[in-house]
Amino acid sequence: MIEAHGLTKRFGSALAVSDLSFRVRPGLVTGFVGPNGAGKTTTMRMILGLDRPTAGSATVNGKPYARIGSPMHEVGALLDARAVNGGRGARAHLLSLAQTNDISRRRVREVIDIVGLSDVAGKRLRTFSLGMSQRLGIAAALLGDPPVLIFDEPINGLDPEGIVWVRTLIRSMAEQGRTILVSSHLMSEMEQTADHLLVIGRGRLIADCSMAEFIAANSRSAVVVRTPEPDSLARAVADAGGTVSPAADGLSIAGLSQDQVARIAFTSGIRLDHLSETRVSLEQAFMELTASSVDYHGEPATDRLPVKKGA
Amino acid sequence: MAALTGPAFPASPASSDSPASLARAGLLGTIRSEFTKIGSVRSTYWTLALLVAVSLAWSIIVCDGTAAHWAHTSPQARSGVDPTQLSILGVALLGQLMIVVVGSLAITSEYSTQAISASLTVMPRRGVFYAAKAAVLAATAMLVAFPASFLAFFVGQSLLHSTGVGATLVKPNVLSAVLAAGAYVVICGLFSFGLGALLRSTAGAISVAYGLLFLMPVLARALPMAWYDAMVRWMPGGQTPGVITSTTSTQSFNGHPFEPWVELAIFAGYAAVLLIAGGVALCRRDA
Repeated sequence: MIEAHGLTKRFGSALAVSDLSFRVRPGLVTGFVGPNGAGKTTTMRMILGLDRPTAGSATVNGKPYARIGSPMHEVGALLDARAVNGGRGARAHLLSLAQTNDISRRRVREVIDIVGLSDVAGKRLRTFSLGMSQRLGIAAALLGDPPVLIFDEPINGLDPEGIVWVRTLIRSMAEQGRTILVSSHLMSEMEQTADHLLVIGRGRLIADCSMAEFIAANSRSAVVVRTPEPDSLARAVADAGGTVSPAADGLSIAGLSQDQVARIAFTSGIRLDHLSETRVSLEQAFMELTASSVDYHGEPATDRLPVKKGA
Repeated sequence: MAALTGPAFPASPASSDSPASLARAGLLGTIRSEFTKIGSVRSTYWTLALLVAVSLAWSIIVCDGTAAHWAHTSPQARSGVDPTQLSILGVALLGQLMIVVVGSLAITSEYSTQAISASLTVMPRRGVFYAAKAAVLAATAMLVAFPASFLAFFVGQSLLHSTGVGATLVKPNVLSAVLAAGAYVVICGLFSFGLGALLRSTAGAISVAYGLLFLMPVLARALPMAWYDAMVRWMPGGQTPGVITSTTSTQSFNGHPFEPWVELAIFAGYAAVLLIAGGVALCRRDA
């Protein structure tokens, strides 16, 4: 369990994180999403005791991070996979981390096998690709077999096979009852992985809801039609309560179903050359959501989403 | 690449309360970790090998040269020769160039690579982390500096054998001078380590260390003579390597230097101030 209470971080005059309160529960993958610069990394660094909050606090399993006796056995973290000394070999790097928490060499070998780096364990880290570095970072997080895992953008730089691997790994760890916080700037990635979502924009919490709730609230669809009489159809549709906007080579209608639009056209005697339904992608919904947080400076568009305030 | 394998994650769901059986991550483990770190980058070996090489090279060139010209050396000049200092001055004078690099890098490489985040995540008690790092640096420096000093001494004395003025460790002040040369190098390492923790930049720490140890004593010569004479004994670096390796009178130095051990203690004081300041900065600032 990770808890944040009014977490706030100010860098000079810039407010990086503003009054974040949330809970990350065990047994679930919690996706921490927001555009670049939204404050995801800063929030994670405050949870890990690396940056001191300007206000508020964070605890892991009920304790401030610095007070955890054996941190690697309680929390595994991957922040920046590239933040390693390039002159060191992979095995020595992992061993140096393991030794601080009295973790054995055998466990170091084990995690190297788990992430599939056995063949390059002796190679210096500056020769590693970004994908290999990500695997190394995940290996480091797993060393203490911790019940809480924090991954900052673990998908970055991975090839498709690697992405599937990380996704499977994260899912299986959640199923074992671990608490998992994964950040990403891609909603499409979270759609595949997360059970719960924390959406932030400009350092503020915009949404704290389950993935299912987010999808239900944001799966808006639109009907796309092509007709030789667009003006007449637009009028008829508007009378029936639909919202019309011009689309590529026809009209896009929101607020009505495909069947309803077909019926309106038939009763109005308007020929339709094309009729289809498109779904607004989750990514699109996410972008609109976070963009509005920027436009209205923290007066989030809350109408469609369950928002947790100061919980 | 390997798929996720079974045994990696024991079926037992890790419970969210803290495993009571586990020991608290502490100083000993962190010291082991820091030994692994300093011993697993090539720059450590290169720089320390260079330290031994230049110490030895100084001793060979100076002592061999002195012996070669001995026949043509006036009795007055002969009486001024300090055979101990001839052989070990290079350890302190040149060795500090190398150890400043090792000492700075020990901490600044954590910042330049940003590995400090991972280091402080696995050991969030920053005072312990800092102390372990400093202790490992000091131990590594001792392991190299003292043998280098004794090696330079013995090689130098064997080259001076023909002159008949060669020193032995049992002569007055000789053993303490040989130890002081090694100690000076170790203290230099900690001096630059503290600077590194304060400045968090490799280039910054090395240039400031060189500036304080070499440049400041030279620039101070521009001051009025009386001021210079009053200040010089208090400066880090400068003529300290000369004073601490001297087994005879220190009359020939500027500004009435302190006894060798006092000079060394003053320098250690500066290093202690920087070490503490660096530690406080590391504990207080965001990583």
